[in-house]
Amino acid sequence: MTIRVSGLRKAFATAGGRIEAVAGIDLALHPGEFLVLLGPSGCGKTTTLRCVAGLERADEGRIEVDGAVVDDGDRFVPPERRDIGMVFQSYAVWPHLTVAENVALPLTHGQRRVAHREIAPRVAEALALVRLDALASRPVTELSGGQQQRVALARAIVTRPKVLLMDEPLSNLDARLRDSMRTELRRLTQALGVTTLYVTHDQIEALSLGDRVCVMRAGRILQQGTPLEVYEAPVDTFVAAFVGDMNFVPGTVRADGAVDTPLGRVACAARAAPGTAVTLGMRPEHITAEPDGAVADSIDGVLRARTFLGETTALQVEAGGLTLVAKVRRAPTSSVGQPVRLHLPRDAWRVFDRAPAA
Amino acid sequence: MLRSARRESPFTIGVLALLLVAVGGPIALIVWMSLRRGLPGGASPLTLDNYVALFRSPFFLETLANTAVFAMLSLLVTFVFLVPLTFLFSRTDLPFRTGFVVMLSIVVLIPTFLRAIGWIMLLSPEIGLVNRGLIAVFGLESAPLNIYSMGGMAFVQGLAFVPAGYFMLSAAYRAMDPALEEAAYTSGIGKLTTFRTVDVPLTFPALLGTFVYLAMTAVSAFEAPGIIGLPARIFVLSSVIFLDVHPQSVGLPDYGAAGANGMVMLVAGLALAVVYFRALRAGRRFAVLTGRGYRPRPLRLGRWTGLALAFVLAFFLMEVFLPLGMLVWASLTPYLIAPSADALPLLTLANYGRMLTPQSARGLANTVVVLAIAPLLAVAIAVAVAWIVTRTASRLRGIIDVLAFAPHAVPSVLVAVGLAYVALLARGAIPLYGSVLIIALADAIIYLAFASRTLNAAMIQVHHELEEAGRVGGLSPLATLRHVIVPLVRPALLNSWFWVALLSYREVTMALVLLTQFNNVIATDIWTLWREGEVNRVAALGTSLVAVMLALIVVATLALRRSPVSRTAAAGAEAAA
Repeated sequence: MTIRVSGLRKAFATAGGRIEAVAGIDLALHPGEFLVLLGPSGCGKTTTLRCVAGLERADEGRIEVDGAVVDDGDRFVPPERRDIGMVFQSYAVWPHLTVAENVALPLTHGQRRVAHREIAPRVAEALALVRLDALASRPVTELSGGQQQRVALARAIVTRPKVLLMDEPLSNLDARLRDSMRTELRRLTQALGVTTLYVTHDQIEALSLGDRVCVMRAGRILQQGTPLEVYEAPVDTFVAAFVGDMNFVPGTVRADGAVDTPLGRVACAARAAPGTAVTLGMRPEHITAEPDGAVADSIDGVLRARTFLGETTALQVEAGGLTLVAKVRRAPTSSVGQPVRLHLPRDAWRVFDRAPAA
Repeated sequence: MLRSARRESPFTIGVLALLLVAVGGPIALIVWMSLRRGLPGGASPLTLDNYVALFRSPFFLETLANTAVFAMLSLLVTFVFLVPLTFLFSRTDLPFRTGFVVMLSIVVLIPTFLRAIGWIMLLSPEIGLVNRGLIAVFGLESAPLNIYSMGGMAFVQGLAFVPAGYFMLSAAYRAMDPALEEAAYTSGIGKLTTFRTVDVPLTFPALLGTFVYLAMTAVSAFEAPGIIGLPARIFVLSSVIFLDVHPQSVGLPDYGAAGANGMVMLVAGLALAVVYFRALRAGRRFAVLTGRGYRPRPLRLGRWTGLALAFVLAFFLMEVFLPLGMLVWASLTPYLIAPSADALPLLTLANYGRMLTPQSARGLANTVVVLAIAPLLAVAIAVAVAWIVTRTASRLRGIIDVLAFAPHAVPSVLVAVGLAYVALLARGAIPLYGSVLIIALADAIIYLAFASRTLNAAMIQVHHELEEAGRVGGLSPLATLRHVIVPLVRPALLNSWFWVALLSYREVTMALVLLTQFNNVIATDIWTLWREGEVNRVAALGTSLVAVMLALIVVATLALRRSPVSRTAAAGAEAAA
């Protein structure tokens, strides 16, 4: 394991008392693995990352980087002595230095400094990897946000660390740039084979970048798995709603395993005991709009809003006192206020055993 | 027990120890010396004799009364000018107001003792040119004006306080949200009523704060009481302490008496400090500070513009042009003579030619040594303090911050007496007493408050991730400080270095207290020459001192491409008071 975190806890004293930011986290990253910590702000993901970096000291637990214990209560290895590189949310490029000087500083004055003649080729190599070789001598403040982010990335990898840590690195970029940087990050980390721990609150980043995704809430990991597992089989309504969108429908389990809901009887196979209150969930893209006819797994509702999104059209449909969202490829001809029929395939329902997250 | 309650780093503890010794030491020694008789290092039991002797002396009550009257009269003079000037400069459309503010920030550096000397040349009963002119014109029997009086002393000191007061008060004015005024206008309340019912109550805490702060300074001010009060035999606490350690007639320095007087000064200062912090807190309660950058629409002066300009010009005439002009004039004449066409043929540069003596050459060399050491030391400690206070989670940072700021509230005359005492105690081990080094140390301690405040403000603006990027890049804390943080706060660093240098250059109170045979600096040379009656040579030396300072300000302003009215200058003005 290149990174192993066990039983990590960290609390902060605030004006309103102690807040436990991380309440027992276990992680293990294989060499070369890309793991994403995903969660809303305040869920403890950044604190976890900062503990791995050594920028925070753990209250409890143990952290290993590349087989060496870096934090376990007695021992604490400061960040400069850990074999890591880190990319910060604010980029944190040093405004008093040029692009090349930013990348060179860890090699000239850091713990992992290299021989003088090696510095120029190493800097050039790192800048070439992020495609900034042409701008090497420019003051870093003259660069755009996306270019500054690349400088930060080059600076993080120039020491050839075993571990790359990234704290919401794309959140300050505009949407288009974010898409291309995401692709580039994936290409770069794969090319380098570096073990990466990546923090984000953006589900698209998490799903598209990670080999594995950890969804966090209130200092704990709710679910770990491949992006597909987390998306297709969320363990609870929070994960379901955070990773993608989901329609929630309250219901009660019947003796035959079907569920009674405000939409009528849903013939999904709930494994809960009869009489249990459950929440059913369905992703908007699994719903289709039926032009006419079909009866099985269909409901009738009233179209309340439609939003054209290009590839798909988002529909808001009122049915059984609930508002359902559907993302359909073929939009119905009905206009707002008219009836519409939706197809909710029975095997697309997920059954959760408690009320949806507020 | 949680791990985060961890040990403090040796660096933090080292800085704390340094501050305790440098800042706490002199004060602790004032207490110590007040409880002992005889010379430093001599055998003496702990005793209250010094206090008994002090409180029994009829002279003590007179000194105390003089100090209080001097402080209050000075502040009366200050506020007569300060309040209208602040109003005119911050809230009206007075022409040239920006230029006036720049001028205030520069004239604050002209030392009070030089202004006092200039005024003596104008208003002394014997040699004062104004007096001689009035006698000649009106055929008077005796001189109508006497600078050698309580009034004269307070007049000079009060004027010298105005720039510092302005920078303190205008900050509060600028921070006031104009919406508070506009709310009154839109509620149908007139301008004058608004000023009375909104502006005055809102700025009252700031007025009180400025008043009390300047009162603290006035209680310990030495320059005007030294130049004017000593010959006039009007003694205040600071001049009594000075005489205790520098007896004018034959006699040994009495550190016991200096300590007892010093304790009285400290208690008075402490009482005022309590009032000061109360005033600050009241100001915060009103919470008129907003982040919005816009300024209220200036009040149109209209037909009052002429009168307002006349007032401002009259102020600057008294603040700088009259005393300094007198100094320049006297530096060019062989003896004191009124400016006139008849006097022109007498003009000479001979006084400047006679400036360079073995004594003044040493003064110059010593001044250079002080300027090489004091600002560097103050800024270096300030960097360490600012780093700990703004950049670490140390639980000691509160006390370190307070200690670094404390010299601001401690009278410089007491720091000097305390340092002299410790140097005498240690004279066998370290040859500090009577050296120029001890003057540099005193300056570094006193101006540390200013330097650390400036650097705190600069360092808190450096995003924490910039520093963390250095650490994860493999840079040690020290390497990060050197290669990341220091370069980022370089402007503030240079600015505070420069201001500490200027303040040390013109500092005279501590240099006088610490003066022995060979550690004279330019400022003490001027003082000594003045006591010897070398009026025109004093004028030449004083003019040169101011000229060099102005040249340095111009060069530095161009080099740093900063207006002299930066935040640094405003803070420096307070330190200069």
